[in-house]
Amino acid sequence: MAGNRTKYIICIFLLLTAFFFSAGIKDLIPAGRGTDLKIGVFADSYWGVHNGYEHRIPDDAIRMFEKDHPGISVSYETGILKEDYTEWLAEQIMKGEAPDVFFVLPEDFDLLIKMHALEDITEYVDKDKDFNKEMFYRSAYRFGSFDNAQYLLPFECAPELMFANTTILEKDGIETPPLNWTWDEFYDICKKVTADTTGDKKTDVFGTVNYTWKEAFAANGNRLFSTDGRECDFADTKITTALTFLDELNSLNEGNKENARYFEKGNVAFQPMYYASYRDFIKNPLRESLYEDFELTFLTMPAGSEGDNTSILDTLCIGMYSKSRHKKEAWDFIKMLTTDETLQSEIFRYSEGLSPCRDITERELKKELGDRAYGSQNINMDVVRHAMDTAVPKYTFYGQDEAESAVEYAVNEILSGEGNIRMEQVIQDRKIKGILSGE
Amino acid sequence: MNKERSDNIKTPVTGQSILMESMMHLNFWILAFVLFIVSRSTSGMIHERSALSFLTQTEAIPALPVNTIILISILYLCLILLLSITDEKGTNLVFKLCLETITVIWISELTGFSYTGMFLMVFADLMRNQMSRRDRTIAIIALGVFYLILDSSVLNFWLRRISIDDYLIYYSADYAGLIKGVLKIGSLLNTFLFILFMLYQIRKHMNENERIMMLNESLKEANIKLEEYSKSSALMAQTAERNRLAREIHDTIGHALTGIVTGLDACLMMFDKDRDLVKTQLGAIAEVARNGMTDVRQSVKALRPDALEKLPLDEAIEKLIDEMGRSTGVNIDYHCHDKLSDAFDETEEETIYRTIQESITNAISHGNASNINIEIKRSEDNMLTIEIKDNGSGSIDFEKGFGLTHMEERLNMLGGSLYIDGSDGFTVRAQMPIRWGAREN
Repeated sequence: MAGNRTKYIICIFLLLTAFFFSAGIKDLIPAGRGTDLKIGVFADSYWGVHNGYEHRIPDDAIRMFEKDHPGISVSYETGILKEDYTEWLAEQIMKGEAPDVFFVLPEDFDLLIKMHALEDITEYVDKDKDFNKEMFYRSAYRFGSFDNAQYLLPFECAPELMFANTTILEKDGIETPPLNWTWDEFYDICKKVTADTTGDKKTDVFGTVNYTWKEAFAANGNRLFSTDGRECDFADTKITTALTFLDELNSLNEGNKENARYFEKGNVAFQPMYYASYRDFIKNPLRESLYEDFELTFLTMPAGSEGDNTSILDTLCIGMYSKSRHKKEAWDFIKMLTTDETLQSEIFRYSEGLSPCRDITERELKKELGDRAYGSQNINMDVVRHAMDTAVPKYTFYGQDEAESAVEYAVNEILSGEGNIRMEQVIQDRKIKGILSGE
Repeated sequence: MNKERSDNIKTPVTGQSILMESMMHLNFWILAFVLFIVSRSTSGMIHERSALSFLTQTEAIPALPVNTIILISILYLCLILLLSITDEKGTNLVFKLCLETITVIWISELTGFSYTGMFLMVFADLMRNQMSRRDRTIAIIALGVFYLILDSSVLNFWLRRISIDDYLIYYSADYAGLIKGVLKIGSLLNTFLFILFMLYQIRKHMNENERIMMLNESLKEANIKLEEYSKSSALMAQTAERNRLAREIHDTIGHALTGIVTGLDACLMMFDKDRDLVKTQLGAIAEVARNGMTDVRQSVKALRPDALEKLPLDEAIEKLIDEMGRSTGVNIDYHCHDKLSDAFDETEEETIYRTIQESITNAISHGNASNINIEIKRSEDNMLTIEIKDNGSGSIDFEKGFGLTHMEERLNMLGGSLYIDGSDGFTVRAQMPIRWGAREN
């Protein structure tokens, strides 16, 4: 019997050992003097621009952070490209070496949520007195929340705005459209400016370029995909309206396809563009000759007949790993990276996006646009504010690019075909759903 | 006989422990195989850049294989230790089975519910232990429910766990099929071992039953022999008693009567010749008769129970109770509210004594009583009540045997009565009038 008692004691000891081991008691033991905070960054620009400022902002952030937090060293792995970043992150997670803080590509957000890889930072957001979420543009901040909990903070973002060639507009005596302009006004202006100025019977001034179904669906208030990307509502009547509008818009250029439409060369009145692309253009010395011959301004996106002046917002966020052992430090780092004035203003110098912090963006944007004074700066600021507060996110689920190419194909089929739009919609809806469910 | 019996018990136990050990080995290797596949595919996926597609599919962060291996090793060691504890009973057994179940659930959780065969070991452990039928049924149902829930992938629906199937996407379809096949074979072998174990268990039970039946048989034989022996010994005692009586009669009454008869014959012859001499002779004859009387009295005394002969009634009864209690281990409570000695004549004393003696004997031999309560008291109307109550099996339909009949006859002769009740234990209540004591009081 004494033997049995010993066995019981050993068993209970083993079970307790296993329990503490799985509860991660080794994580509770202080990791020595220095704390090593790992961060996950990618080397190249999120906006796909080769700007030569690899890791510039993270490096500055680390320098500042280490100065403010003695004893903590921050490190990251260099040389990971954006296209490999998600795979790299997945590998780190599987190896158990995931960084404490990492940039989250908007497309990966829902995947990381489903994996429970992201720490819910709602508590930090609510309790940290130094932090005020009101400083962010609403849409940018909202992107990082899921199911009423906050997981990410926006680091950098770029709204899609409607860029207008004011030279063309002024020539035709058209006033700059207001903030709440609509598809009808948009169509009227496009129709008015479309002209053959050289008399060769070929249109050489165009209404718009690159206004695609994405912009049209967003303007008409249709998100198309469910947030988890498993459902799609392509047969919706809002889509019908949007497709009809696109069809009308396309018909303006019907039979005039010889001359290419280049907004940057000055022969197109409107082009929707992400602010990041615009910055790339104006800052790139090779492209300086472009945009030279005309004045331009940016506007809100025109509202659809059943929607609002809704822009699309692309947001690069930053989040905390749910199994991080240094959550307090991780939060401090995230907070600094997203709210520090110096770091956030660096976005305007070393990157192409806008800061999600309202005050910083407005100040820096004024500075940036002041160099190229055109239009009324106040209007421009209202446009940015409106766009950033009401925008819908560009990405909502992992694998959205594949799903969108299916929609792209469907839209092209419908617009190039002669059939009834409603009928075609139902047919294509089924096809897209098939692709989404993984067939 | 003894040797044969121990063989009967030992053989199945050895077979069972071999089977149990085989199951431990087999489960160890199956778990090792599962863990090997998990760690192999994890490192493979990391190296071959398919970690992302794996995570996209599982939508959960897998545990580090090293951690899983360490945890499962600890838990499996714990399980084996628990299984090696045998012959537990009651709460200890329940505690042990609970620990085993927890360990097994934990291990299968760690494998993402990919393998749950360890449950059969707990089942086997449950079956080989002694338990009441009700407890066993409850335990089997509880374990069965756990096993079903774990083995069907119901749990995986709510608790997203990464199972071996998820890891198999790393392998080509052929290899995945092979791995699944190996696992299937392992788990079938495990089931097969479990079935063998149960067969042994059934055989063991059957052997046990057979053995009990054999024991019953021999017990019955012994009982019959014992009965015969007790009959013959009673007969012998009777004969001895008769011989003794004959001897006593011969020695006392016979002797005296012979003297009296011879003396009286002489008297008859001398009656007419010398009356004075006859007178003297008759005096002598009377003396002989008186002596004979004394002898008879002494003989009768000699036939009485020893204790009564030597001790007063109170002490005799106490001695009887003490001896009976000590020799049989039965607890006998004796309460007497009056002094009994010198209150009764010999016949009455003997009746009281015999009544108590007979009742205790009956309670022990027929009722299997463990507790006997004896109470003697005197009632208002000068009746003595002796009540002997036991907690034995009692009997509602009983036939008065020799003992009880004799007891009743004796009491009736003294103007008393006997009351018997066998519904709650066995109660004997004897009543007899008190004659001398009445005067004393």
